[in-house]
Amino acid sequence: MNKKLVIIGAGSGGLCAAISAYKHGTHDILLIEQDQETGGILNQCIHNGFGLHTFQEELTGPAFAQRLKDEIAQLPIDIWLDTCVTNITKEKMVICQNKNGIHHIQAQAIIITAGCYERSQGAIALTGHRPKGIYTAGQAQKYLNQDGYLVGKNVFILGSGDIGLIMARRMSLEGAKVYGVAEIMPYSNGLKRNIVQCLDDFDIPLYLSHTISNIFGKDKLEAIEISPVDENRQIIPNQAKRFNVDTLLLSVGLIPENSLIYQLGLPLDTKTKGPIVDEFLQLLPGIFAAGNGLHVHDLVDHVASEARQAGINASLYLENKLSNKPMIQIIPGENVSYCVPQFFHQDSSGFKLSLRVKLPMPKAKLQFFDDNKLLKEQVMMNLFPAEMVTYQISADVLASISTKLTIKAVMINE
Amino acid sequence: MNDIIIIGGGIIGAFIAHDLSRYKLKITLLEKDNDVANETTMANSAIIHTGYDPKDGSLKADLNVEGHRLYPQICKDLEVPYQQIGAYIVAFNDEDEKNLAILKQRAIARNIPYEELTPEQFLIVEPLLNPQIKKVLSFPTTAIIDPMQTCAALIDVAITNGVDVRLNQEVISITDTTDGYLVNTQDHSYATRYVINCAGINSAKVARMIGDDSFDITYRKGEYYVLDKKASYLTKHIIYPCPSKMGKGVLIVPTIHHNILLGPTAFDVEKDDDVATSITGLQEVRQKAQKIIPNIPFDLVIRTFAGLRAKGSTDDFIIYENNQHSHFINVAGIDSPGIASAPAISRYVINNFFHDLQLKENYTIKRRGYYHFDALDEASKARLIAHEPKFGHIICRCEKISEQEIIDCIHRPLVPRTLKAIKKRLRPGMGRCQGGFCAPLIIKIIAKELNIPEDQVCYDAYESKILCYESKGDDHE
Repeated sequence: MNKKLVIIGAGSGGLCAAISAYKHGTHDILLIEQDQETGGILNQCIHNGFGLHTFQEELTGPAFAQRLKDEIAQLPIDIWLDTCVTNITKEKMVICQNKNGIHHIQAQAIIITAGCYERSQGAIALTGHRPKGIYTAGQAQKYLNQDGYLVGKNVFILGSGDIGLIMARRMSLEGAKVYGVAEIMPYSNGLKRNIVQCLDDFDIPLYLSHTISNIFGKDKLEAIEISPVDENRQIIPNQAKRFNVDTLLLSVGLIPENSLIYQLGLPLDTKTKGPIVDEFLQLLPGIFAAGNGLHVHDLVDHVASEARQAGINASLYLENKLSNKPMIQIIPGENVSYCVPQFFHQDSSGFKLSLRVKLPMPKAKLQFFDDNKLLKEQVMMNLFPAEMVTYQISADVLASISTKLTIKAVMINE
Repeated sequence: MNDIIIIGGGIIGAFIAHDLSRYKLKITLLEKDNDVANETTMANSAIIHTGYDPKDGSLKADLNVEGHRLYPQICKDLEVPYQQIGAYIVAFNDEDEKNLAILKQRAIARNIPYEELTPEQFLIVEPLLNPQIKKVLSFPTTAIIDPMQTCAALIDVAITNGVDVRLNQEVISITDTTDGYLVNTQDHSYATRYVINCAGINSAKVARMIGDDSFDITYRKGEYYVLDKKASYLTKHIIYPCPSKMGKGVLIVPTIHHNILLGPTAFDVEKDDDVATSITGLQEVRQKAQKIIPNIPFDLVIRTFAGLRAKGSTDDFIIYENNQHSHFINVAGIDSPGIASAPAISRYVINNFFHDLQLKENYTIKRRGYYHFDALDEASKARLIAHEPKFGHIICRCEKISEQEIIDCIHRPLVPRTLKAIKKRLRPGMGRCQGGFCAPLIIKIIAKELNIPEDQVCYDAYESKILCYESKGDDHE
């Protein structure tokens, strides 16, 4: 089978990419989804707060997804559900399987919007026992919001990521007692509004610079212990505090679903764990990535806009309109943990840059260097590691770069 | 009245049940947990050692060499994975080299193939090894298996041949009767002529139930890291430091499923349920593993675990018939090389303590393996999906396990009823996401196939239900 554009993953990213590519002239599209419905993780996010940027109104996750589902239903775009992409090749062959068989689809362009997965108990090497009762926050969210079951009634949460905060509120509303949230960093990893609305409003304590130091219960979770950590995130002994809980939820980070990229033999960004892309979001000519499968976003609105851009770029690629000039590297400098894209073409006419800072900075200068030469600086307010920074970088800055572009964030103390 | 009660459904009990099931005997196997292979068999290095390590004249030496010889055919009959990948023992200094010389002498005496490698030789094969390693003693016939799958397969054959396997039966006392024993669990009593005690870490406790305190069991904890398959480039061989008094040391082991295992530590603990990992233990694994391969990608850790091995007080396997209590057979102190020796231990028990056994007219030694859909070639995959569309429906994204594989695994003689039982047999939830996506789906499959409500599905132990309380929902007042 041949297709002009194959999009892998029909969550918010995939739906937006498909709609946008269609609107920009690519009409032969196949959207492949692993789950039995489109919409991805939005389907289980029944809280509101979605869509302020995209639809200028506040929606729940399923309502946001429904808007996209309704929109795509108007378009003649093929959608395969319950279908798992097992492999893609550099020649843009997409191999997938479903109940109808194994399928080889020769695409002219591919967009990977595969989303991300949650870091697990194992990945963070929690110490103690491994009983029943420890779940990633998203898994508990699915059980509660989609399957209709609460996994426990006495809850502690490790990690102040947004899903953990949302689940603290959600479990409280369902009658569970949430004893607290421990965060290993000295600052929260979630959006500020979620700290206020999900913890403060429910009197749930946030233990900053704390982590889980022990887990008790061989078969079922009986208790956990939290301990403070020093500046190197090492546990300070003899200061443990015990909570008798039947549930521990983990909200300790998300990792882009990078297995297809790994199978392609391409290197991953050591920080984002996602692919390395150019300003068109291409990891290889004609293969694009966007959304949480590229790097983890805080807001679905950002996923949507990035994925739309990928849809536009794929259409331009199919019309042979993307640059193939040599590329220049973008380096995350002082206080910047990562930048996406990691490369841009010499003749770039400007693009939207996404980055995260390493530490909270109420006021900072974002500085752009060509090697050591400062080209431009921009004062920015309220930069937090938990909140992705986007910045439209203009052609004139890019044109003056001859070696590589280094981006720094310098704190302004007042 | 049973002829034989086997206490313990680990790899030893499973081999004995499997091997005895072909004879005209009424056998019941009692397992305290909600699944077999749930203690030491579940948490070890999964290596079929060749038998160079145990001391001369020990039972361990004989049974390890014999067990290693038996495994390939057994795994073939059971259709469970077995792979001879070879092991390297590395020497950093003169003392290590002296130890290697002893191992080499044992290998010669026991007819075990070996090879001595210089840095020039082994660095070509394993370039990531610490270049400070002076010498390697290679044992090319060392193999790896999947102990949990093997144990489940042995149990399935035993059940097919008529063995009664009872889960959640914890033996709490044993009383003498005129013609044997009464084995009492928390809610049942089983009359039997023979008792075979393969209770692993609890074997000394079981022996004491008839007043036998002739041996002790120490709970020796081993902690491990599991690395994602992406780390499989680290080594093709099992890499050991030189063995010491506390065991074989921290190893780097490719698993049969292409993960990398780092560990174990060796730390004696007080309690039989202390399988907690610790900061110090994992730190020790890190440091020792990094000594062998300096650049280990610890960001690819997907799981840590700890297991207890039953260290016997004699330093050897403890296998004997109690002389005051005839027909009470202890099979205890089965620490390393326990997995490797297990088939030979079973034969030793049968040959020494059972005589004039009569074969059944009909019995099997084979079972059909699990489907390993992802490993098949495309034509076979297409054929299977055409035959059963559920083969096309992937449930575990990380390990690429299909719905039909899980259904097929459930409908086996010993029905895996829990998430963990399925994970142990088929590996959904053992990949990078650790079940985050597939667990909710597998709960639904178990419920459907066993015709039970979803909220009755357990994680592992009896009553360890996952979906504990219904949400408020629409009907809420």
